[in-house]
Amino acid sequence: MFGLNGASLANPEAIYYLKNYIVIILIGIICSIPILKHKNTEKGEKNSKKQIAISVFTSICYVAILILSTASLVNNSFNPFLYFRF
Amino acid sequence: MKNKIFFAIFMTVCIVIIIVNFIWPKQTFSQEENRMLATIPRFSFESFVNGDYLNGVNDYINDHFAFRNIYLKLNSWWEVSVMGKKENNGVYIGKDGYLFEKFKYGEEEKEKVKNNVSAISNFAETMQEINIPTYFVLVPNSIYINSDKLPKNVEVPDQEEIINTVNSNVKNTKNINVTSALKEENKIKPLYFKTDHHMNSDGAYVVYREFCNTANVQPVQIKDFNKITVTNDFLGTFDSKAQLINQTPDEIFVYENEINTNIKEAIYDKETTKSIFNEEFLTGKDKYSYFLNGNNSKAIIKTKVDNNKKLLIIKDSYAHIMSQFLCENYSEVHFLDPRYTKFDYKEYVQENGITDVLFLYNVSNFATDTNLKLLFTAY
Repeated sequence: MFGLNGASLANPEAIYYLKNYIVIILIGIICSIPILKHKNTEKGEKNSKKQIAISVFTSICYVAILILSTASLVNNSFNPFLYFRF
Repeated sequence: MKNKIFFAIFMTVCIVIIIVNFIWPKQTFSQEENRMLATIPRFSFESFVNGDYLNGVNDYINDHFAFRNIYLKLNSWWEVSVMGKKENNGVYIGKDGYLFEKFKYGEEEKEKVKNNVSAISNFAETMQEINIPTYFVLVPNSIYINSDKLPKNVEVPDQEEIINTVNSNVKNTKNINVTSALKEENKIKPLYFKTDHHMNSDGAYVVYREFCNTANVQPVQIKDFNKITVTNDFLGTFDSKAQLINQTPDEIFVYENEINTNIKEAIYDKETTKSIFNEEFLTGKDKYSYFLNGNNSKAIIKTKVDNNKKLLIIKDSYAHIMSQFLCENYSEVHFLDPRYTKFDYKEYVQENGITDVLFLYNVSNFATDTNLKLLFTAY
């Protein structure tokens, strides 16, 4: 276990991978707590300009996430066959 | 309102992607990946039931996704430039523009190395019986020699230790250890490409010089060659894999002199030419094939050196760039690649009057290749 029985808390490999994924982990943490939930959703001003702006912005974010997810899926099918062609 | 706007934009994007994919012109070969792309599978009841048909459709759609290259670049931009990852598609993004493929040395690799060592020992024994010396060079990879360029906290197995173990286990050969020479000279000038898995011509010269010293051959001095840059626009295999958006290309240079530019003939699988270089490849993606015409199962260089010495090199592609130096000292140099040739190598040695045999492999390939074993256990 971590830091027990004489084992070190983390080896260089663990630190390397933590650094690689730290940004996505932080985004995941932030998005899973209701910190971004905007306050005026329950006030009933459904058609104010602010509300529309928020809707458009949210939609753009969703589309961006869709495109990035597609890119990630396409990348998984990327299969360079580099060393020989026989 | 909010849901309607969202729904409209989202559905439009989805439908546009599907339509564009459907009508986009299709390609059959991917230069980037160096492979044929999937074709539309043929429908049959059987293949539909066992799942082959839909798997085939899946592969086809993946391979022919419209703007596939842009998505690949977008993904690498997001992962590397935005998320700060130090690798993409199994390639480390090192300092100063260096890229490295991961190198792992576990039980599976050890087993393959063991098999290759015994295959070479067996072959060298049959060569010993007919009084032909067998030389053996295991060349370390860029990831080990340039390990100071790796991202922080990445550890690489000690290739020098692997090479020393292999050299002490392989029998009946004269081994050439190039590791310390490569390490020393790499401090002065780069010996490997940054974007490709091969050595450059300076690295090849170091291996050539060390080989000559062991084989009792007089190496031609580096100052007696003309150094010529043939392209400044080489993006090699590591770059193809990593798909970075802002990678600086490598330079390919060669060392030419009267002998290596003026050979008798070079016999390749499909053609015979008068040169060990092929400029046609410099316009394509696969520019390393400039050396020795790419991956041939067999390449024979006949030079105007009149000493009746004939060298056989059993090798991987690391040997290709060495052709410019090796043809200085032999009247014939034969290159055989066990990945693509399966026949009796002893017979080949006798029929062609070979006088020296050299095994040349890079560590990473030596630890994954299984073709040597197949070849020599056949006797």
